Amino acid sequence: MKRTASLLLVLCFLLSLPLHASASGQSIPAPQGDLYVQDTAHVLSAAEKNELLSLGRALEDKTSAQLAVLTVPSIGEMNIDDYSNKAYRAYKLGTKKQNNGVLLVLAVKEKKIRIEVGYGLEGAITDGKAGRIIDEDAIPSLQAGKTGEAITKTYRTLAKEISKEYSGEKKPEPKEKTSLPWWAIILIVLLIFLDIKFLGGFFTFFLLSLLRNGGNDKRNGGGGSSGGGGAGRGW
Amino acid sequence: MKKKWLWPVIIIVVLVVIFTMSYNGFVSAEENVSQSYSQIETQLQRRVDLVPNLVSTVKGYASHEKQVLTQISDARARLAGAKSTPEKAKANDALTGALSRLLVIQERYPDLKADKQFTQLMDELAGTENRIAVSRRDYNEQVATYNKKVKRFPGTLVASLGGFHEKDYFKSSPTAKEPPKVNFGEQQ
Repeated sequence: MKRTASLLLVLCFLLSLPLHASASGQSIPAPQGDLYVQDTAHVLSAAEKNELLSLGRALEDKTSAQLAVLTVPSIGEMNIDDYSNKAYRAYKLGTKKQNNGVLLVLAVKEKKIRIEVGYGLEGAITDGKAGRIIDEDAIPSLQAGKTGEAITKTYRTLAKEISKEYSGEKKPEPKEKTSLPWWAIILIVLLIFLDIKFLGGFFTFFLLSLLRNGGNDKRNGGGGSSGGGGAGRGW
Repeated sequence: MKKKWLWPVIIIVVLVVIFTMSYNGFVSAEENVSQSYSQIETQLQRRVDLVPNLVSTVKGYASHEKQVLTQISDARARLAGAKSTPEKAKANDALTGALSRLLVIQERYPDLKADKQFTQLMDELAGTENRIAVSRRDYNEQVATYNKKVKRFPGTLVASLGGFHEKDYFKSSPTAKEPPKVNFGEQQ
């Protein structure tokens, strides 16, 4: 009796779960290391890569905006606009609240380049401006066969445009500092003591390992999205 | 078996909870649908607003391409006046077709192609078109999720009680994706 009832409950719960029609992010390479530079086509030199990484890091620290570059050998059958939007949404550039990210995508085989702008930066980098940046910074170098130079130049300009948007604004709030009241500290110490005494520290170690996993310094996307703003070109 | 009343009560409570959850699920799914729809509408409106600028810029360089310009203006007017979702989708496709003729024309006017403002307007329009494509995809995904909810078995009871009906997709006609055929002799 009891078992059938609980089975019924589980069944009801399963039926009520929402069904997500998930959009598959097929063939978009998973980000490696810091998100800012995903050079899967290997067109950047080590020096260029390091420059962009530190530029991206500094930009995010200053403005909370995320600027990333993704190079791929080929985008297959997809067109660059769709691919860039999917990649942007897979990387989730910018904060969830502000969607302040920009993704520069370059497809080597198809000779296509695109600046994909997150919702939050559409005012700072309009489609017209994105097109102009590509025309001025990327296309000449790309036509001369200097792919790395094209990317670094474009990245620098984009970083400049983004920080211009945030200049005069105060720095983003530092990640909230939690100051615990004294009684909470005593309570926590007491709980840890009880845990170690009676449970062999099971919960303490469990929580510590969770913190360790979450606390590493790799830079990931902040949860932002894009609605397809930006501009693309072939060369 | 002391508490005979207990099981019916538990079952009723469970049913009420399920109904509420399901109902709320419909409400938020419907809200998602209308939110994505307003995204499409914003972009369609932006497109309608951009076209006159573009037409006047093109006129400055290629004033005798009257036919294309008239077609664009007509398609724009139809989009601006469209009311229902299928009507809007159709008018939007017509405008896409008319605008893509501009891409063919620009090849014949190097001055126009080199004009900064023209490039910028074309970028803005292309961006808007892309945003429409993205928001249409988002909208259709939300509608699919919502319609599935409405049509599937346990939810369909709640849907009919709560007055949730199936919604229209924002369909693009298959012909709109083909490049337009323009006769210029040497070009196709």
